[in-house]
Amino acid sequence: MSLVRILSRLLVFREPEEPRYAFTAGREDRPRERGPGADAAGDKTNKLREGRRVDNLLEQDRPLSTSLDENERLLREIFRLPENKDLVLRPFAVGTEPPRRALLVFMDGPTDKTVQNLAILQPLMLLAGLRLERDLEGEGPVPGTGDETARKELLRRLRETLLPGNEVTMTDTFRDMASEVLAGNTVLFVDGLDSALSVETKGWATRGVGTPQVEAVIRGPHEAFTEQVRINVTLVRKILRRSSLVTDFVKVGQMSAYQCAVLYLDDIANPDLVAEVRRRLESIQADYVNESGLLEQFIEDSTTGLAPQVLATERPDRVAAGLVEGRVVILLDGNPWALIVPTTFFSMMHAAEDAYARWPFGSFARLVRYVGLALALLLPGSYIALVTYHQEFIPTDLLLAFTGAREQVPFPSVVEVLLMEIAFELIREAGIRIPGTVGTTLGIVGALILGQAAVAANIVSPILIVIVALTALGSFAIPNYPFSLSVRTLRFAYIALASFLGLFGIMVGLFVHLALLARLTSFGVPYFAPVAPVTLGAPDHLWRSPVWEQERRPDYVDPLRRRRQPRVSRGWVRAKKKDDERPGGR
Amino acid sequence: MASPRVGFNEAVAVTVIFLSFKAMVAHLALMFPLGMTATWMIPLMHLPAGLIGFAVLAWLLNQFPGRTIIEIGEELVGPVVNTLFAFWFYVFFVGASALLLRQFAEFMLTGFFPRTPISVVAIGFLAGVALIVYLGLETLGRVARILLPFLALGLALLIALTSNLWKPHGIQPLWGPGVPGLAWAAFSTLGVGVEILFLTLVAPYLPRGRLLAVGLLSVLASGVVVTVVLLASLLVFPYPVVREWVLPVFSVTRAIEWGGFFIRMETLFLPLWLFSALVAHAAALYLSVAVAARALKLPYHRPFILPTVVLILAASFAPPNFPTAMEWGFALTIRWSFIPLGGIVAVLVAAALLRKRRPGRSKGKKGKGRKGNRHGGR
Repeated sequence: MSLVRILSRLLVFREPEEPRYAFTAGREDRPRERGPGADAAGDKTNKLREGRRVDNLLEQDRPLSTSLDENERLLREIFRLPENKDLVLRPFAVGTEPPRRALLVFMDGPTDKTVQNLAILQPLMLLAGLRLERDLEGEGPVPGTGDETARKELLRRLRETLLPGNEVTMTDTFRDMASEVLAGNTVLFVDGLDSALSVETKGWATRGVGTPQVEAVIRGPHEAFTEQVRINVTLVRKILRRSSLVTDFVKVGQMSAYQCAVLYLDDIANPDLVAEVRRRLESIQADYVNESGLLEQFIEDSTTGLAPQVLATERPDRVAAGLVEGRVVILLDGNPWALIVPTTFFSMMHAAEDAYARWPFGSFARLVRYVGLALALLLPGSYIALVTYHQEFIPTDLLLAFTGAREQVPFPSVVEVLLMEIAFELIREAGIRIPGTVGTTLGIVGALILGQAAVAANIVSPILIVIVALTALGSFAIPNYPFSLSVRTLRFAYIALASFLGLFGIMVGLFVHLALLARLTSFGVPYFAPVAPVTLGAPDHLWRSPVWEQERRPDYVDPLRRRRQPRVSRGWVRAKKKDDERPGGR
Repeated sequence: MASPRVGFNEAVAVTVIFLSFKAMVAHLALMFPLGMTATWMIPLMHLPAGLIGFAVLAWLLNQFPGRTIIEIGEELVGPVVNTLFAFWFYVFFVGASALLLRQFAEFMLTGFFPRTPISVVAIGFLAGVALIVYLGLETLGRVARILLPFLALGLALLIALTSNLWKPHGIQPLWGPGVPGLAWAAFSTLGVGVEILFLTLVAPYLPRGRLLAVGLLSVLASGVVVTVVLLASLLVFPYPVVREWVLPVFSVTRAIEWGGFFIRMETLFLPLWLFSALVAHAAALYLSVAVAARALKLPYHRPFILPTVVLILAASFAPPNFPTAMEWGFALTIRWSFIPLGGIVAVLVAAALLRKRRPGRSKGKKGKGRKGNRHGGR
């Protein structure tokens, strides 16, 4: 830019130009100007009408035509060509004599080009003459004029002799064809055939199998689910090598249907439970269910419940353990979390490692977690109640220490607690969002500012730092993330109750909380089973009994086979008896 | 509306807490003047009567499976008389709840919240009670089942911590006012277990054939609990002192000395009082609203919850002071309740026996009994 122009721009006033937008959100009241967007309203209506017409085409299961040109025309409409640059239409000729026109349809990106070249284009263009006989009985001179038998025969030969892809399926309708293309497969149209062949060419970019991020263990497998449902199913099958393991697929979502795998052991899971899971999944009518957290909200028994009613896990070994107990597992494509149903309160407090450690330590770990749960939920509220209403309960020496520490603090205890709890929640929330490289800084800032500085400034008492730290540790000890979210939120309710009514408020709140949880069900199973109501099964809820005592599957799941192992599972401890072979013998 | 399903353990839990709660509140203290140093024997003397009485009640209920005592009454004595019976049940349980609530609220104020208005405590407490009754019998049973081990542990801890204060001469002379006086004391307080009528309203929802077992176990367990509490009170404080206490168990907890560090332990036992009170009041409220719903042949009990709660709240403020509430509570629920309620049951049993003996007359429509269910049948 020349110096003169710069000076001119700086010194000479020009009326600012109002930008012209064809679309201005929320300004429907403004009269539209004539110009490029003049017929916008009409365009919108036309677009809507056009969209509905194409939707109808798909919904009504319109069959494919024998004319390749007609099929191509409709394909262009369905996939919005030429605006849509992702869809590739690759016309070519099958190398027969005379050559036959064909069209490959696929999405650019999710398909594997090497497979396309080697398993579709190469054999069809170069080897077709060798494999396909020239004349097919009943075939007319013009493609598409042959009889039904000839068309089927040609299709069969193409499928069986010329397409070496490991999965080749036939589609007859535009809806199925579109679904195949969107799934990353390549669809082959041949002139004169009213069916298309879909060849498996998926080549999505996927993450490899990694380690669990939330459910890490010291002892036990270190594999976690990934975003590919097929890989996830494979991970389960790798652990559970049983022919009765069934993987059933259900599509979920209207706008973008996601594959949802329902896994169960056919000889153990209750058929009614499996049917109920399928029924709930199939009944979902939602635009977009791309995450297991969304799916969970669609299938849980109570949407207003205070706790999750579906167990989300990223560990294949936990899924396998659930399947063996007779539960049903749901895996959603594009999601590294599996959903296990039904679940109970006690499952929320279990970790995979409980089973891998010897029973006293597994039970002890659970006890520690329950203590953590109590601390996370009730400690801040109890602190407020004790220092505000029930000072007499605090031993004199401790009370003096409390009072001394709080002497300089100008706030009442409830304000003090709320300040620290909110600050802590902020740190936790920011810690998740903050980039990893600066994450460590956050810890230092949190510890320094909220801890030392807040105490030094007499904003909070040192005792409260201990309370908040213990609360945080307790909440981190809860192994199930969605459940710990529920505890985090409800803690504030207990703080409010304690500040109004002391321990009385906390107890009444706890009673109501218990009642609301006791009323919850997960796929019909009471949330506090097997404790309330009492049901049979191996002692594996509050504590974990020795593995050789885990003889029965949980009764509340109502599995087809109740017994997990015979009464004497450690066969070496005594001489073999006659009835040992019988299930549950002796 | 699906029928609730109450398992064996849940039914026992609710009934035991309901029957034993009286050990925690004030009006049981009025038994001390009757039994003196042998007051702890009174619940043991009640036990045979309670066990036999419930066996009779269970026989009556088993004659009409799937029905509550209200429907049985209508079948046996006709709608008019049965309406009077139902009305009396309702009034009795509303009155008993109100007096218990008043005593409990006064107790909370005396022990823990001296500066809180009594209405705040009463309303806060009733809100929790009303909610659980709104959620239903199943929920009440499950919550009671979850709480029962903690309550038992708390009571055991309370008794154990007082062991260093026990003085064996507290229960001497062993027979207190003498055997006749003790027998009269036991007879005149037979109404102490009228809460067992709770089972007559939930019988249709219990696993089939387990009603008798639920009742007998509950009577036995609660008898033991009340005995232990009375015995511990007498062992900690001598009789002349304990008869002066308005809240004997609370005074026992205040007496606990556990090293130099823990000096006031009563707050530790607050959950014991509160949770048992919440369950007991919820059971009483359920009983009242279930009687009303059954008497009016309504399938739902929920519409009666709010009016009944308001009635209980209003009635709880009728006694002018705490001692009056204690006296009224003792008179209504322990001293005289046995006569009308026992009388109603006796009339129904007699009618059932007569009906059974009359030839050519069926037992009436028998409802379908329920089999043990998967989630609550054991």
